Amino acid sequence: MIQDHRVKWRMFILSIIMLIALTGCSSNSKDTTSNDKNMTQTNDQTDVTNKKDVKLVFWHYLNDRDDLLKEMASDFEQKTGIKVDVQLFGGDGFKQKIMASAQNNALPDVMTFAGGAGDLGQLVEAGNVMELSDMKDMFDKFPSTILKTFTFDNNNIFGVKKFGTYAIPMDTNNMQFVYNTKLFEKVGITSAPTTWDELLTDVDRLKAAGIVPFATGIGSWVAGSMAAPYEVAYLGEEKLVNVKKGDESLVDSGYLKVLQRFEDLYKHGAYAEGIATMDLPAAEQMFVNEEVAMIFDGSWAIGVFNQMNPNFTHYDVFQPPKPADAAYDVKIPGGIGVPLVIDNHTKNKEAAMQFVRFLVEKEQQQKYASKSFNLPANIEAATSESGMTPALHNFSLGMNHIIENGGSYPDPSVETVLQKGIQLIAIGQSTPDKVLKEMDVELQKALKEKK
Amino acid sequence: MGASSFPSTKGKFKSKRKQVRKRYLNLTYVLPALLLFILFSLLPIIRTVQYSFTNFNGVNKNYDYVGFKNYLTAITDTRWWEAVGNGIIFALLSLVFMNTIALLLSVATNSNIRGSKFYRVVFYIPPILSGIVVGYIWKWIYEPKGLLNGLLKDIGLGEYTHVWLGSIDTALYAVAVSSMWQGVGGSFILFLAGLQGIPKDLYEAASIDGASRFQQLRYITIPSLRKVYTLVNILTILGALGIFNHVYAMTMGGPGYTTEVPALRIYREAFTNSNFGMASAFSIVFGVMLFILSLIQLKLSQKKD
Repeated sequence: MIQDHRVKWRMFILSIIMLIALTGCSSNSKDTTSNDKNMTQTNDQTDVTNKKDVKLVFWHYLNDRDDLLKEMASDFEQKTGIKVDVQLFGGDGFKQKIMASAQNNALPDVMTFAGGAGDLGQLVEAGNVMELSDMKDMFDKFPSTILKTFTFDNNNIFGVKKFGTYAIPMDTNNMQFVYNTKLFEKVGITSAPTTWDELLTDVDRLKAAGIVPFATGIGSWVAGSMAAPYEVAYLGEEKLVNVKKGDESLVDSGYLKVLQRFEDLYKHGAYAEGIATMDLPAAEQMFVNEEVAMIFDGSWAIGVFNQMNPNFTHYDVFQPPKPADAAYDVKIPGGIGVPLVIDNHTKNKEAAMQFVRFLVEKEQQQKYASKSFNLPANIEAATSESGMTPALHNFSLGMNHIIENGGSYPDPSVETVLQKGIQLIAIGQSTPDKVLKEMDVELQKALKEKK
Repeated sequence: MGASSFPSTKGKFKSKRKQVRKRYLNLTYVLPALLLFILFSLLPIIRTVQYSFTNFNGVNKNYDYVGFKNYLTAITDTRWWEAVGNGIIFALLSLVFMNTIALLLSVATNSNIRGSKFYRVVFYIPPILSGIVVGYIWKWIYEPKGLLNGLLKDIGLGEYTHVWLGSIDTALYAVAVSSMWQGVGGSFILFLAGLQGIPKDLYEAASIDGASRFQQLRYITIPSLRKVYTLVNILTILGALGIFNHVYAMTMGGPGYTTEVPALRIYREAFTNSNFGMASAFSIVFGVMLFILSLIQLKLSQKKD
């Protein structure tokens, strides 16, 4: 009898445990997310007017700016009474975290988006991010070309049907060559190269003096960005868009010359050892250690250099030099550096918009630029030059030469083939001809699949 | 008769009920684990199979079914097979070098040498480290001005310094070394467990018969470890073919496609190309391949037995 009783009790306890496990596992992750956001949301069904109860959750991936963003969030709380829980998720996995969270409607109230317009387009179509026309009054505070990046209209190439603007820029950026002025002076180079031939001559002089001329993150995504100025210079933006769409032949487009520029650098011995698998942080470390004279990098690098060595300041910036046989002007890749996006399912919509407005106000943007060494998105802050180093100012001038429409391949796999091809060209293991053919095969495959 | 048979039927019924109840009770013990298995293993596999027939992009749930298109693309994709080829190279290198070293280390630490317990702990440290961390450590070791080249220069072998990860000749092997360095401890511990299960009197008898150490290893140790060897080989093949962390941290599959491996390709397809349908198809193809390989290995070892 007693044994029967024990058995019943055991079964009862086990059933309870299983029930708890099942409830925990099967419920929507939005409900199970342990972050304070959902706690706040459930407690905050009334409205956001009772601001003391509102707590926003803000995700970002900016390792170097975590303290600054927390400081800004604290200022925001003092000003409005709205608390912001700033959560850092640094590293390459941030995009994956966003995509996985979006699947379960578990995005934070506000986040810095990581990824391109095509990636954001997917979230837009899935109804995960908020359309920002309610913040239209803010739009003229940013360069129109910048805002366009994450604006989808009926001409958008990503097939997004929910038209509108879905991100507000917190900062802008662009990519150019950065050079060590002391190393240049050491070999008698007094000014930055303005043509491709001058660049190669400088490479030869540096090399002859035993200085490694150039490094960048060719082992990562940077290879494609470094190709971009020369894609525009040789093809022009209109043709480039058509080629990427498959409306014009890639092989006959003149793209070969783009790849030949990487071969030039290889033939002149410009690349640092290990370039083919080098990522940008490794190249940046080499540049700061003065082991290399030039780097192709973004405006954010100034903050990175400062963090690596605050005493390293003898560097300047030059735009990618134009090759003599290029028909068009060289333009540089750039645009929104950090896009701010609001969750479409947030219960704190007003508070979230208020926080985004706060981050892009002139005063906050000036503070952001001076403390993080990044280009502010707000035009008033960008033109004030307040708190900008000379190199950062030169980067800011580059914003006038941004590629407006560099087009997009029907599948990112073509970019991967380009990136891998450049890696092999940089170590003399492939040729521009071969890489171009491989890119064309991948493009045709992507076009066929799209059809 | 009827009256006398009634109590015995009742008794039978009661014992049957007890049996059923016992069975249910046993089931409740297994149920939590079973439920967790279903939720975290079986359902994701079923979901992956489902996605492999779609053009799901990872976010938008309005996807279409595309039939066997993803599988056809996977099977005809030469880059995919190159990645599988690289995985096989990793597996072969691990089978030959890693497991041999692991076996020798386990034999050495199983004998009564001084500090054997300390060495057992030391050899098992790498497997408990994060693969990404190990990858980054080895990346630093292999850097052009890294530890390895520095060491070569210091001992007068400067002519052998090399761009280990940046060259297509050495990148794959350099990554394999780091992966084997981390994996050797896992095989070592399994071999050691196997060795400790071999009766000591076998060695004593062999030693009385005048068998040398090598003969003992060849005729007692290795045959006794056959089942452990099968297990270690299967785990090694699965681990080496599924390598991801080291490649991700050290080369991202480069230079070019030199160190591209199946798991990295699946990752790229899902998270860079936002093509979860295709990534799911690759995963299923890869999973089936690993399953078949394990079966073959198992059958071969059974045949030997």
